[in-house]
Amino acid sequence: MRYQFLAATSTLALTIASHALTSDARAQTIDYGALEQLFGEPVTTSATGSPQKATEVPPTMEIVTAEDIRRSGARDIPGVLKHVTGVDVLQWGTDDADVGVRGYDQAYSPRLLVLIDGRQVYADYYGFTPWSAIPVELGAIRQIEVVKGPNSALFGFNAVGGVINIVTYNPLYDDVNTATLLGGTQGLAQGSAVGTVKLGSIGGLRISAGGRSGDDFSTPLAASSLGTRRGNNRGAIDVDGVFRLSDKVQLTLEASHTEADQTEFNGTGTYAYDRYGTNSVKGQINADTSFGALQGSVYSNWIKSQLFNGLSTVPSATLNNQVTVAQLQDTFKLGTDHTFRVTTEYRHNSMGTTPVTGSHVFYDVMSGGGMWDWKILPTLSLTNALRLDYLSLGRDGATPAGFPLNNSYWNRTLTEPSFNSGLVWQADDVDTFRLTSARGVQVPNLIALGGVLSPARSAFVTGIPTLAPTIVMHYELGWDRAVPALGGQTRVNVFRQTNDAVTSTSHGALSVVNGVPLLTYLNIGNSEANGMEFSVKGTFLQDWRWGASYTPEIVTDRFTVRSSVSGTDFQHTTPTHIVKANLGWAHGPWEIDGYLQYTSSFYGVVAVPGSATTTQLSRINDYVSLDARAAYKLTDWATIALSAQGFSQASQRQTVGANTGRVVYGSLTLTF
Amino acid sequence: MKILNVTLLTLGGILALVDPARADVTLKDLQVMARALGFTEKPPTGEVVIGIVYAPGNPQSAKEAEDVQKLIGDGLKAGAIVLKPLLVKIDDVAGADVGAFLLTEGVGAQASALAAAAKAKQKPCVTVDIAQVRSGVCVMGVKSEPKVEITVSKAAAADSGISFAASFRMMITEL
Repeated sequence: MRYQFLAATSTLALTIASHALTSDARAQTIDYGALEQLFGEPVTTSATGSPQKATEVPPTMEIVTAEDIRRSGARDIPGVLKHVTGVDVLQWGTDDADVGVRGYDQAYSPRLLVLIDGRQVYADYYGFTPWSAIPVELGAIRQIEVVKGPNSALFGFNAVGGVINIVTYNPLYDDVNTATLLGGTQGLAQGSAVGTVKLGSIGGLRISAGGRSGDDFSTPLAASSLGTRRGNNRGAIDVDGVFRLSDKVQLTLEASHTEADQTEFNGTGTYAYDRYGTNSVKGQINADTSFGALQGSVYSNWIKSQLFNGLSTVPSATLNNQVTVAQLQDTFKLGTDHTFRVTTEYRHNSMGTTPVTGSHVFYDVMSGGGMWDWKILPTLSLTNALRLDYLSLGRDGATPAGFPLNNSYWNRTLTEPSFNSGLVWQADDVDTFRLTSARGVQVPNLIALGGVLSPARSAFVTGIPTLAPTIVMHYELGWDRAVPALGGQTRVNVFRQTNDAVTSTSHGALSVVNGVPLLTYLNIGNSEANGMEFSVKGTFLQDWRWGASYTPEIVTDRFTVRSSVSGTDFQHTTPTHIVKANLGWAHGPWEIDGYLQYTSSFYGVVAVPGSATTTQLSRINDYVSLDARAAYKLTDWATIALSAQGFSQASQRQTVGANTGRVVYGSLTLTF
Repeated sequence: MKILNVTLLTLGGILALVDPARADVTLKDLQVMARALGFTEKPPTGEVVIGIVYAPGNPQSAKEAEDVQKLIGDGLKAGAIVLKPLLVKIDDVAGADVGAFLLTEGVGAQASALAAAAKAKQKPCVTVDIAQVRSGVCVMGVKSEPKVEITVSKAAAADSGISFAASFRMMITEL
């Protein structure tokens, strides 16, 4: 079935390319840089699938520019994102962090869809993102788009908390050549390089590669986690080529490989040492034709994760996951006021069971969707997106003796709609109001569906195929006001979100099937969030820029299973108050920036000492953290910088895991 | 709650500072016009002579034309093109050898002559006078402050043989 679909998609893509090559097509694909220069603000396709100015998108979105990335002083993506309004980062170790949007952050946070140029890069088997293992260098990034709230109607499953789309420079349009060497505390040594090769009128090729090694924090670890700090390492390479098949058609080919070893905090509330290997290949065709802007793409991601507990040199689990996605979409304008996007997608997602091997849990998803952007008035637009996903779950291979479920239990299907609606009213030259609602679908991950299968002494530790998806409903009202006197803008958002049929975080829940005890995941009830965001940013005296935000949020859980069993508690683990502020100065060769974050007290879920399945809540007192960067441009092509993360204290409790330590590093960046 | 009140009061004070304002044709308008021309099917490159069309009998129009000419100076680079100015009286548009027309405000009913010339020469007309786009005289109108907004007349574009990139069309207002 899946091969038929892939074949049909490929044939259709080739037909489109053939038509576009020979037809009177009109224009090229999106040149982010040229459009940004034209409109004087970032341009995105992450909101509706069609290109839009950042100030006109229906959902609440933050766009982190290349300048923001540079001036953050961060050495990885979570370090960049933690300064963004509404983004929560749990820094478990020097290289391990979980990122959430508007609360609900946790170890192995599964509510976030992370993409690089439209290709998903989160670990599909668990739904979380091992940030060190994604194949992108900071110097290759044009912008990071953070969409807040569900966007399943555009991106499919997992896009329930938010979407982070990392947009890299296009080697066809952009000529980026840079190298950075970095060294600092914790034995940190890092190198990163991005090179672009222009192939005349044929196209362009970008190669980016990076390596990093270092120690983790030296702050104390719980006894159950001793032995998991074995040094953190990362190596990544990505090759991205964009070729001009004609004036109207472009072919993109991309391949990547990463290896990363790191100490990380997991869903059981303990540390482990995790060794990742990932590979990906992608092909994409873009064509502007008389019937719209067409895009066809196919990609495959492979990820392997070996998990080492305590002092063990033998992995307790080895996870192999492959996902293949084929997408086809057409975005076109009818008349003067209506933009449409139609899309179809096929996805095959499979993982081998572990630690009992020899079988697979998998699903196929076929999806169809559409988006309609209606410009009712020049100042009023209504966007509606609808998507229907049909998921077919399966399992092959043997089951261990005594296991109460056979493969036929996995023969299940799921049909779920998702939608996004947004009304945007530009009341005048400075005021924009947004009213949005959305339905997002979070499918249980492959581990929760049975990817982990372990015969234990008293019960099988496993997932089960009967888990229901989590349905996320979201409602939001937003007001943006440009403030020319400040050289910036203010933003106010009020939102409400409900989550039905939340899935537990870990294998803590005991159920009995056919008389056999199973420790499984469960649907544990509902949770809702109500919150606001206030933010303001601006510039003054030419050289200064500043920003501040305050994000109060209250989460209420209505769970039927205690958190000590499910490992899940959002009500107490979401901070109620977060304040962020930044101040920066740039003059001549100097750039100096400082960042502050206040987080009110909250709790974290941690393993009960001596127990493999029971967790407890542990309090983290309110804290203030400070980051800073000072940079000096030596020449047009060389810049030195000194960065400090969490510099106010040598050791600070920011999570339920080990305390974070002060990290200080210097860097030299060469630009050619 | 106290924090919330302080935040709301601060925001209220900030929001009271708003003062939107715009000039006639600004340097930024010209840069936007030049870059926008790069999203046509056959985008111009290099030097492009832009005919600044004015009505000699209208002081406002004549002054605006001179101001635009000064803004462009010896050449204004934006995107892949360098604009070169040429003052063109409205009565002379039929004979003007230019790559594009820029229509000043205040030309009034005489602007129909420009529409005819643009159609005959298959050259685009751009302006900051959105009314001239609504009337179909000019292909494209731009407004660059407080944020960039571009309006395109599909009828005028078709008359002038101009078509735009699909991605560009989705980001502008078409009439």
